[in-house]
Amino acid sequence: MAIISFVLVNPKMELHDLIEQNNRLLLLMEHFNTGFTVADMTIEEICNSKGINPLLFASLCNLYNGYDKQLFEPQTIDDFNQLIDFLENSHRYYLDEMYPEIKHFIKKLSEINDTADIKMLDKFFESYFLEVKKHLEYEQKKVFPLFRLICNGGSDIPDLKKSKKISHSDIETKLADLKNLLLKHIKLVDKDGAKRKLLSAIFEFQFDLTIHSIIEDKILMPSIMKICK
Amino acid sequence: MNKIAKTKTSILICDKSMIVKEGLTVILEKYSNNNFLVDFFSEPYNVESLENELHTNTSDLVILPLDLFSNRNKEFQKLKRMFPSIHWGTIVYGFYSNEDISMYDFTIFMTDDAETIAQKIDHLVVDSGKSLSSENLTDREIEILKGLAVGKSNKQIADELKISIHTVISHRKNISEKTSIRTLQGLTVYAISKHLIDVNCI
Repeated sequence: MAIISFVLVNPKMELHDLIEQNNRLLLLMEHFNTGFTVADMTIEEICNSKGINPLLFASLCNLYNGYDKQLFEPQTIDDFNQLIDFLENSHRYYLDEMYPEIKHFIKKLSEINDTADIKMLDKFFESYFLEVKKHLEYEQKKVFPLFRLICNGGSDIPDLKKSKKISHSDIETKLADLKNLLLKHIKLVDKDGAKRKLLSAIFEFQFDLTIHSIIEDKILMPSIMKICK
Repeated sequence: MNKIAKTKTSILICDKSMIVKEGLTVILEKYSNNNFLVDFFSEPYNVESLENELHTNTSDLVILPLDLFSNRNKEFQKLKRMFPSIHWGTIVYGFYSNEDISMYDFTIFMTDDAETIAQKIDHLVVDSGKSLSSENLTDREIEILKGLAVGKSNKQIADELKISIHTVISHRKNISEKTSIRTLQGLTVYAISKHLIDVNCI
């Protein structure tokens, strides 16, 4: 997914200025549990008050700003735990916010469009999200506890190569299909901006999911594999 | 079938042979129900110059010799992506593979008579306002899409249409490229939205 580039973030920057430029950083702050009242504080100041590594925070801000070249490498147990906490919070966001929101707008459109395609789209989304739920549950119950065990130096570490592969590509492809069906093919009667709101929600979900995959596949997994060697 | 919505369709014939160029022009004048602006391009064996020509020429339909992109599937797909509104036809002079011809919207064989050739081209052209959409799926692609949407396997479709699984897969790739829909479930919703299949068939 193409991400618009904003400023390259460092820990000395004031968070308020960065949010003004890219309000998607609010989502990142929510995943980090920093709260939103940032006053004139820099990333470093906010992070120090919350016990978050400022370099990790700034690095993920850069992902949200469209830079994915210089990725953060977690060094300490705290770094790993903060990354996993971040991912767990984003899972909650997908399950408790994105799913009901997308579902709500599909239902709204179904009420004013008694057509086979919107019914099928609803089914498509339902079965898609069932897969997402299973995937998140697997990560939540198996993968993340295993990662925490590994980076905390657990003595009985299972062979990671034998564990089920974490694949995000299917999830992202189906979401792209959902978006393309709505944007390119399915004509619907709209009311109260329901179609726009549905598309906006899908775009927001897709954006956060892309970042989520980068964190898991390119930051967390390689570092865990290094520890296991 | 998705067709060109134009009252006057511009065709670019890329072939070295004057007989082919003149022959096709006469066939279209005599047997087609549509009006065409026919243009020629004489350097089709240089893909780069063809690309440049297409940038300056506003063709609706381009006819290429099959060997130009034979075994160069990726290059052709790239060109198609670059010019998504163009319909592509090919002329087969000799041996051909189903995979190669599956990349085109229509194929002209040396054994085709004049009326058949005109019909194949006319089939892509409808009056303005009757355009169904811009995905340009060919009849064969629609057949395959319908099969996939009702849950048939690649093998079942290949057996029914008497083509190889490889060709089915190649068509499927083209369908996904044209519709921007990659998953089977997504293609099923697409097929329903275009009234290609009935929801009760699933």
